[in-house]
Amino acid sequence: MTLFHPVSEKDVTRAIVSGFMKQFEQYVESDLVIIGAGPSGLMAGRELALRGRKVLIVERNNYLGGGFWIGGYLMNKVTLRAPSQEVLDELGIPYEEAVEGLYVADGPHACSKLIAAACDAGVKFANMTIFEDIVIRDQRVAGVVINWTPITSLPRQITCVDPVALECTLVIDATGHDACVVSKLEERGMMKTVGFGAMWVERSEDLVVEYTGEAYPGLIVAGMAVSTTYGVPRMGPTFGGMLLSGKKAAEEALKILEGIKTA
Amino acid sequence: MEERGEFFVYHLERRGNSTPPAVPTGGIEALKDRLSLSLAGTKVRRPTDHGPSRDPLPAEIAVEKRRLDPGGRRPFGFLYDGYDLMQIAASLLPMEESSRAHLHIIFTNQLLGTREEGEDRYHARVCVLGSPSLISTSGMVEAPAKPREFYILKRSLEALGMGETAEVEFAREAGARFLDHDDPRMEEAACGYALQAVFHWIGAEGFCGDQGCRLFNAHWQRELLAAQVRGPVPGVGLAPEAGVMPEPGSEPGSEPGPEPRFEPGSEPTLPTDVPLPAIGLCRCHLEQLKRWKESAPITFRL
Ligand SMILES: [Zn+2]
Repeated sequence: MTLFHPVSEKDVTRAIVSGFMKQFEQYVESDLVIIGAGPSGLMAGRELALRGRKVLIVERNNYLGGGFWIGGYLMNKVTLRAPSQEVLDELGIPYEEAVEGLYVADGPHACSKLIAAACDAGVKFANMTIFEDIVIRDQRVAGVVINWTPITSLPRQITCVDPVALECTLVIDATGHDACVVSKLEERGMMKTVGFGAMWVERSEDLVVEYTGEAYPGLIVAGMAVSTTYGVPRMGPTFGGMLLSGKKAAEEALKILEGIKTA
Repeated sequence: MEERGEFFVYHLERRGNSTPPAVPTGGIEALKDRLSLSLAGTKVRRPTDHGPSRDPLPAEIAVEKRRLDPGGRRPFGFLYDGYDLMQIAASLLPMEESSRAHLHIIFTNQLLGTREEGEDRYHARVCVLGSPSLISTSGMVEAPAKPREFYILKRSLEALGMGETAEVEFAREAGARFLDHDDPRMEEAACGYALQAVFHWIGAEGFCGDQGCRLFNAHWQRELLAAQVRGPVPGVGLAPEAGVMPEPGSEPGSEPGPEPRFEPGSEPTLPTDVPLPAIGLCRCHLEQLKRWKESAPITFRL
């Protein structure tokens, strides 16, 4: 008598393949594809899925959460300014007040709760997946082209893996400083970014939240990608700004989706 | 004197309410569109640029348009060309208020910069004087340099990725030595800059060499506090020490001269050789203001 029920290797393989294929096929078309599973992407995904939207988050790494696991100097405490602690309350993440208006939370606790919250809300993930290109239809972003992350580290002669396209109504660029989706549009000459701005002020989280929104028809920019797109003054890690930017991205997305429905 | 609400909101409303409405074809919305396009076009992308961008992205225009609405959120942090902004504001002034008989002072939380002749880059300014005159509250915080210790601590903590914590901590400990956003002393400082606008308006000389005078051109936060805020300011009154050169690095504001030396623990000293009239002007500028008052077409109290 063994502890685990006996199953054959083929059953294991079949379960993985069919489970993956079922989801993959379902998400070939969705309401939103979010590129990047950092704090802003996860937050946006959760809010949208909670409101019944079909959301797929594409993440190039195996792990989700981006830089939200650790704070400065590889120390796993993350700091947030008021009012972003309200998001922590909402997600049930414990925190302490460091000084007035500044809160400190455990990186692993905060990050894992946020990931779980997105999953619980119904967000699906394509991790180990890179964003390769955008699909444009009628001068609107209408989908993304993706591929497996490992092909980026393979020798040229065996990287003949063609990518696949996914369709969606809206794409959110939550890829951090790289602003991968926006850069792709720029590469094609369809829009231009401002690039990182000079450091004029000590704080610019407000601006990141304010400028979060549609940057090109069908494309919403969130998180640090906002800084690159609009030249928001450089700043250090500000997780509060990322979470609130994710929330704003979701609000903007909902407005656009409603508009499309009524049009 | 009349105190009005937010400049753009006020004048848009006033134009909309006048009979007939003083708005272009397309109505108030068309005027807002035009304004938000020009406002977004006054943003300075890089301090080394020769002028503002003039080529804003759609979202930048949308943000400016939201700012034109009453009660809209007004985050700050971008640098705007001060003279361009002044011109846009001037275009909204009604004819009857455009003459030299009127002085308009706009207080804004936007960061303003100018690139004066001979300068190789934009510098953040507290005020840009003209018609109307602009006074920037974020400029009061960002334009005059903070104590050198701030930048040293900030840089070292930023290297550890803790810039945010450092800033809050430092501001708490050293708050008395520089203005911070939402600082209650800002109101008092704003009065001083309003006085500078008045002097500019009556055609008097721009700046004063007296460190205790409201018209002193402050390059350091400590100088700003000394000139504009009466109160315990450590180190005030000490002569600038030649040879103590700061490392301005990338911090905003004009290249500051030597920072007045600060000896930790020293008692706050106010300049003793300078009379301190309530209004905060040096004797010479107070006299000038009194003389002007006698011939001025309007009445005011000193
Ligand atoms: Zn004077």
